[in-house]
Amino acid sequence: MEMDTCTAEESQQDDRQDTIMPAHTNIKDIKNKSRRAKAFVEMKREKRKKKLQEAKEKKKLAAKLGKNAPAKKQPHTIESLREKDDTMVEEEDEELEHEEANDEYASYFTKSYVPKILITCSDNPHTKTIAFIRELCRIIPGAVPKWRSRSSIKKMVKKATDKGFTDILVVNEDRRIPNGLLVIHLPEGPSALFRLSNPKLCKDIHRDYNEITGHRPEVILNNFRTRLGRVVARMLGALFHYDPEFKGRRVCTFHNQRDYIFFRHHRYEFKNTEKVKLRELGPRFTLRLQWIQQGAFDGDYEWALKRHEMETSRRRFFL
Amino acid sequence: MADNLSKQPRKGILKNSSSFEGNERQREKGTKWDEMNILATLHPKDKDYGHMKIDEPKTPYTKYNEGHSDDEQDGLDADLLAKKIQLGGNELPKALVEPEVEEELSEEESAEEKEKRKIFEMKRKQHYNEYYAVKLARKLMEDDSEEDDDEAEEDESKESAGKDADSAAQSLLQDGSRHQNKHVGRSLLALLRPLLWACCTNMEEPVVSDFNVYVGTETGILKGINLNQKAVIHKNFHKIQALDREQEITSVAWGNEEENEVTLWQSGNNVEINALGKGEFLTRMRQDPTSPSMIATGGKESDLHLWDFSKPEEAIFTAKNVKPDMLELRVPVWITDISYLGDHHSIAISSRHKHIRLYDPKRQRRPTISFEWEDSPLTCISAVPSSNGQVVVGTAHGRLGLFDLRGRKPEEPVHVYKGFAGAVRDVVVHPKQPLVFSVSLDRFLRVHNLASRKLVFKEYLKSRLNCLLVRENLEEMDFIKGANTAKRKMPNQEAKPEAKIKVSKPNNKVTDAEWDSLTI
Repeated sequence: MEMDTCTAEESQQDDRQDTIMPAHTNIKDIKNKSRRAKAFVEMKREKRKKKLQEAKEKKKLAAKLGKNAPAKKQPHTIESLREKDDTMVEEEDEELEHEEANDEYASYFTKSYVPKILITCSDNPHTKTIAFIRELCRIIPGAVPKWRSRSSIKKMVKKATDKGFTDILVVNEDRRIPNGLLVIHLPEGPSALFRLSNPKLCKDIHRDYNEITGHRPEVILNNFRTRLGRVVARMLGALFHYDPEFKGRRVCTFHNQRDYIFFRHHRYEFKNTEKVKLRELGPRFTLRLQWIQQGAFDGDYEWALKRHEMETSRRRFFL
Repeated sequence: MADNLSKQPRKGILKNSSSFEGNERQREKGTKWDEMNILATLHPKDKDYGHMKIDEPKTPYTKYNEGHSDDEQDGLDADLLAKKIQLGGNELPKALVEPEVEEELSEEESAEEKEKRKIFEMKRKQHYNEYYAVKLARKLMEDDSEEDDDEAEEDESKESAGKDADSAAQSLLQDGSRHQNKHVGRSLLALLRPLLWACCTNMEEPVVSDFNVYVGTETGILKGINLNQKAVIHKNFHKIQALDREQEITSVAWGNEEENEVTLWQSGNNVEINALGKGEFLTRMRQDPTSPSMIATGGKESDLHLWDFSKPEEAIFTAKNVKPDMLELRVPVWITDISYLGDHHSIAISSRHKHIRLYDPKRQRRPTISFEWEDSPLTCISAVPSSNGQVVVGTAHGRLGLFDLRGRKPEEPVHVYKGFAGAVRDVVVHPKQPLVFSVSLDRFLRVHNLASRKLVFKEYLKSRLNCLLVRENLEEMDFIKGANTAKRKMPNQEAKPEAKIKVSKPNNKVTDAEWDSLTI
């Protein structure tokens, strides 16, 4: 460093010198590693000082102005830069209410039946899938697991309707782990295929499944803002019993973010009105919608993911 | 030296060979069979192996016995046969002889039964000629403006099956001036049981001429869209609370030639189509644009039939199914949509079993072209009016393809229009402009350019869309879509007088149960 300052001074003082040594403006031009490292540390320190000073000044200004302080700038995220979607649902839309009052899930919301779910898997399931199904049966009240026994889905649909089931969940398996979830609403209702990823059982989260009680859980459906998202949310919500038992303090959350639906299962406890303590129980998985069909595994497609056409922009989401 | 040849080795150096002669000797040595024991124990008579007792003979064909003569075997006597042929040579075969009227029966009937039969036949005749009867009734109605009680009740009792239809019908019958007869004359409605009366009385009455695209939804809402002006507006024509799921609009058509009136078909109650045949239900009925008295029908397991109003008892043309496929199985039929081609004598259909077929009714009953496209069911088809054999077909998975059925390779789509996320429910190609209007289950109305495949316009209409109607006088324009398109001022459409909307109730589906319940 001393050499550098000397040369800089010399060059400034001596005007006659034709050659001017270049000043080291870039740290990367310092060939010596230890000096370069030191210069880097210095630069970082300067930067940090500057940042702290700016923050201080901003705070002072905000304190002075009080209410008139300029609003805090929000950082850009992909969600905040999301492409404008025509299908976003506004509250209190008459047409929406009319459609929802008349669709296949209207009877669920009028509490006219108790959902009875049939959970099954593909043929020849492996350990993880079987464990996953067992966990699903614990979290969803009224779920009945059955072996697949090589039955086709259309026949399964018929038989299940006869026996009084209201929904079917088929867990698909690939490479020894569950990777797909097919939800079929029974009396001719819509069916949806989800791709299931990152499944974690209770023991993977180091929890004991015996902590899960039999109380009916509450269901939270977060961030389903478009029309399609609403359809999916209704479908997932209708798997659970309509009246939760608040005494059990159990909650199942389906949180949608960037078209991925994250499922979490917690027990909560309110310490006071603002603070909540959460203990995660139970399995955890993420879903991604592949398609929705209008019939029970046959019929026209209401929405189908076509990657080449739809995944054109990183800021475009459908749910 | 010679001695050595005759010598035998002391211990046998030869290994056990597998030649025949050797084996027999070995078997004889090694295994001994106890025949008596075998007879006693193998297949003992009192043992039940659990086999099924089969009563049938092993082969359907009896064995050829050489002893009998050929004539008796076949059951035919050649001489006898020859004589019979000679005798009956000039007569027509039984199938072509028209059955004579059986008068014997009528003689045996009593007077009462005769009466009953006559009444029954009269009713049947009325029923078959109901189109004319209703037309007549309408005229009479208009003549005397208050409802003639008998006729009104008669009409209503024939038509309405729902209670609200009754009340609505009453109210509309009373304002007789609203209905125009020419509507009956032209539209598809003519053959249907005239459930003409509005299903909801509290319907708004906007001016029909403002909109140039009409879309019907699954929840029963009719929407009008105006694509001309700078702001695209769409408006619902109904008050939403009055509707329910029963009133899903399944088809929309122009009510009259000036495209003033819009007729809606809503799924609901009975439809009277004069002969359904053996199919399960009908899904589509289309009127020939060139000759208004001809219609085509098709449905599930009900192949294409062409009907003429003047002969309502029997189809003029019934299509024949294609030959069985390579597994010798019958090819199933489920027609979803029918379209008359631009050259006025062919009909193209799309099927839920992925078939696209072209029929030429004057030439043959089998389809002239039949091929499959895509893995998903085809939901709609529409002819390109300006061309000679081009059709646009939509699938349940969200693809829309343009086919040239008269071209060299009809199986390959000329163009595929993209951008759909859900099933395409209805397609209309504009008669003059190169535009394809499509309506899909993902709640969007899309307009593509026919040749360039570009998406020209897209609009979100909140409900699931079912059917579509486009005005003929829609001008070419750049629809508002993003900054690149130029906004041009469009000439205003002249406001058409007397724009009214007629809402009607019949549907296109007839189930077997309903069919049985209809009286002959």
